[in-house]
Amino acid sequence: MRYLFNNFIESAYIKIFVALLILITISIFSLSQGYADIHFSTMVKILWEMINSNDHSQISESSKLIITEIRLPRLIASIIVGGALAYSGATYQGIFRNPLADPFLLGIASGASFGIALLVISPWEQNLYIGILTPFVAFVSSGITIVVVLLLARKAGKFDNYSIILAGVALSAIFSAFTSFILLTGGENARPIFGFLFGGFNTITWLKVFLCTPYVLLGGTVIFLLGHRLNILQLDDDQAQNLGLDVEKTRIILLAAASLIAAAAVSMAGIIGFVGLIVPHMIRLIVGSDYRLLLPLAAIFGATFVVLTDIIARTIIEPQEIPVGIVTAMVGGPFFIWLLSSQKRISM
Amino acid sequence: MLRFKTVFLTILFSLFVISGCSNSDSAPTPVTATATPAAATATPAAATATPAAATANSNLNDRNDSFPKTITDLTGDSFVLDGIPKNVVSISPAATEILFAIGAGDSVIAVDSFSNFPVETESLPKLGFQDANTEVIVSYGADLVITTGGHEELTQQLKTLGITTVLLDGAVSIDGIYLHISLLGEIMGLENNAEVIITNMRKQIGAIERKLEDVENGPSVFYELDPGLWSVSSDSFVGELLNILKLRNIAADSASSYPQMNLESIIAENPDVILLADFQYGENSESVKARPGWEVISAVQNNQILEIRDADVVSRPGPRVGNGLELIGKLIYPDIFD
Repeated sequence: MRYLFNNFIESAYIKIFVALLILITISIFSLSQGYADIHFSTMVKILWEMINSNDHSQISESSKLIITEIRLPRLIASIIVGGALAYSGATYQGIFRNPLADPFLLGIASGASFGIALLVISPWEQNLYIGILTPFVAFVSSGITIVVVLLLARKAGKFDNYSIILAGVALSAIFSAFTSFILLTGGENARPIFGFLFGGFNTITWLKVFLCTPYVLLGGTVIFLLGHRLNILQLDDDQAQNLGLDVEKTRIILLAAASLIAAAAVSMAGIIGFVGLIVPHMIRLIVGSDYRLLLPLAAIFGATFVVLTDIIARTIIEPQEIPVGIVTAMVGGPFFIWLLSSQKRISM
Repeated sequence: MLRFKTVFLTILFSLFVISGCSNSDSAPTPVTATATPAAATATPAAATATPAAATANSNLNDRNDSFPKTITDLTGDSFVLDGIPKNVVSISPAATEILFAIGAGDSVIAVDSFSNFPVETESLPKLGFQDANTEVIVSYGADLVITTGGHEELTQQLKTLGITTVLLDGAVSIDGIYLHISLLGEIMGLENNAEVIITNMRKQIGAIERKLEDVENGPSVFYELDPGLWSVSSDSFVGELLNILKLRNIAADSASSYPQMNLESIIAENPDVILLADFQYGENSESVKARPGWEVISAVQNNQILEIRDADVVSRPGPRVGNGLELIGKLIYPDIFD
């Protein structure tokens, strides 16, 4: 550790504070953006009334509905999903010491969506219980995916960086193919999978937010408590072991936690690519690779990135909207190419 | 991997859309122009010229206004309507046609991007299809939203927001269309108009069936949705139309409703007729003839590659389905239909 402990803490707090300020500012801006022409002051008034649960004012019912039941759950969902994707992406990259690790390239997102597709065409009636089951099924199927990836990538007790990504890409292709097969042959029952594969927040409701958020909080807490160990994991496994870290156990716990929040994000908003990959790299370029700082900043900037792209998704071709996954790929793709071709070596 | 998914989804999505809709730049509908009296009542654009126009354009005074009333939709869900919906949003091209056909067009304030019939829809705001924006629907002050298959989540969300929303499934039989029409008639307080439309449709379709009474076994047919050889099985709406026309659909027994056919199987089945529902996307009899290997198919040898010039009429489960039947009927049995 080059940093003096106190200095690090102090400068980290300032950076996190600034990042949070940016997120809050953009979030408030996001609430004021949309098709309906709701003045900023009206928006603030509606929020104020919501917090104090009084409604004596002359504001129209539809404006209230738009702010409290459409824009607000949508904002909260994009914060949670963006944060979860970037947080889990940063964790995966740390666990595998691999700059390409992210929920999508590792096959976790495809695994989760395959599980959800199975649930959609299951003979059970689609109701609240299925809604509660969704994030759980997504977690189980993504968990199976990651175990298979690990088994395939393990050579002589060590993980091979290339094999991990190759296995992930292969599994991802296999699961996508099965999901597509279900979509093609499932008939009418399979129709809801469409909306899901495109990814987005248009049909988000408070209920969905409440059903998925606990998983994100649970996994997030585990990573928050153990994330600093990722710094030690960047060393050689033997060295890490010598420093007193149970390498294997730490890896498995962090993997499970990261997969839990990635699966919850997928069940909330479908497939939204590139966030888990590019946001942690952006943060690395700005503040370096200390995971104590990298993890929280990745979560905050992941949230900010998705809130921003969602504003684009729902306003750029008004009155229509486009799936936010298209926007994140359009913005994230070029950035990723630039990252690959740039001279700057990303140190893990 | 991402590219694979994107390409695949694009294909699937366009298929999904084709099953209910097609190109909005379509030529003026030839069928409507030459419509029989029975067909005319089902298409208000043409109806104005016929005596039946009065029912389709009935004013609000004729309405059954016994509100509030309890409506049970086709999924069995009930809801209470306090009055005739005044701001209707339709996210279904077929529902848009039904609403205008029963004379409720004045209440329609916005439609999806594929709703292109009747002409009145041209001036209405278009809200997309797969991603119709919830906030936009709410800010239009919608008091009734009609959706179709694939909008299950949107439907649920709009209901949560307290907006009466009815999902009319896109994959229906002709009997299903009658149910859709009478449900919308009930909701809009236009039961009588709905009945008239249904009666006329039954007459029109019955007349077609009688014309074909003497046909024992119609020709075998390959129905091409897309140059990628996507077709329709007997489970699909179009498949039912082919059945009524006594055509032997070579894709009838496919596992999925919209199967992708294998060229080899098309050659082996050797259809007598190829119906091009992708004419509006640039395929025509010449381009099919030019496809390598297709020269051995008897439809190609006998010049039976028939172009469906207005696929909307055929593929949309709405009030113009009789016109769709006549359109294909005329192409295949010119002697019987003229």
